[in-house]
Amino acid sequence: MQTSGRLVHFAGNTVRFNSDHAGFLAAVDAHFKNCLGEDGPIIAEYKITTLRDSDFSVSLNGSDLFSKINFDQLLWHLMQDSITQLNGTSTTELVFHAAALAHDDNGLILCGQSGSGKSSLTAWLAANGLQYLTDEVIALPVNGGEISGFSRSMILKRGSAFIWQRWLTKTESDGFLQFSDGTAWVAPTLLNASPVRSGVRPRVLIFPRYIAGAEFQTQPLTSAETLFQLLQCLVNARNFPDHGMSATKQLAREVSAFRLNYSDIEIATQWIQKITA
Amino acid sequence: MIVPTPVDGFQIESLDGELVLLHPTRNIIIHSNQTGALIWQLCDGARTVEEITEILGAAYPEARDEIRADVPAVIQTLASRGALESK
Repeated sequence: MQTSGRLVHFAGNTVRFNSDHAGFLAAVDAHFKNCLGEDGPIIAEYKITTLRDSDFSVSLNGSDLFSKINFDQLLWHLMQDSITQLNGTSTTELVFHAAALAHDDNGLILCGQSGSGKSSLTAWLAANGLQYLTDEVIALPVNGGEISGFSRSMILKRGSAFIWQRWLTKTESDGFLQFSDGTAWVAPTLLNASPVRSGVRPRVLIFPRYIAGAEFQTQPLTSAETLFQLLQCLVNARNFPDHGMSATKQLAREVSAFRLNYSDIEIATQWIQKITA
Repeated sequence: MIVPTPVDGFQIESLDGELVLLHPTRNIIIHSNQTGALIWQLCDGARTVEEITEILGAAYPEARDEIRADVPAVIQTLASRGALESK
């Protein structure tokens, strides 16, 4: 079998996947479609070797990383590890754990840790017309400017399956992949035919928090409160002499920021669409 | 006499009278509102809690009672988060 490579880039760096497995390469093509190609140095090189019984082993820059993992584990581990490599290495862009969408030229950032509901909100908003940038990490040049997103497929957990079940009619597409635990990878174009945005000026920043049964509640944040929250989502602060403080402060000043507690996604997304328009 | 003293190593950003304090190696991030920012700025390692209370009480006589309650509480909060120590 011939080995082929795929390059995936984000935040000024690139990783390469080398594999002889056609199914793996097809999955990379489908779910990293909008971040394929080289942009900046190749900082990590993964070699995926197909073993017997449909198992795989993976090396990273020549050292063993995973062994005897199945296809689902291969995709998950590489999705996670490659993001970690790309996130932590950038010295030219601040990387925040956040989702991002665009309404015309207005950039919307949903900032929060796992479990805050940002992926579900992102998918719902994309299905309702906002353009997708990312559901996981954004990058902002240290001198300010447009935010860009790691525009892989959306990852929706089992509890958010109602979203793709509501809008997705053709799950046979290469852009849809469901795992045994109920999680799904959904190419953004399956929910919204508009092209994925590569960059947009930040305008509105929301710190969502999903709380079962909670009343819908919003609170405008001061610039200092926004900076405080943003610094907690900054992934690569250690790469900058001032730990990203000045550029993050600039972002905090530029945007309108809100804290959002919600339990009903429809009410939350209606409010988000209104303030982003 | 408690003399609250700023702990070394914090980066401090002021925005519209509020403060954000970041200690990168200890991974501490603190937000302080305008009242807390005023109190923090008076914690210089020389003034006691009582002196800080007096200074602010003289500057804002209409809020003297609130200040008497706020100053120890804010100093306690900043100390518990690692931004102040007592000398």
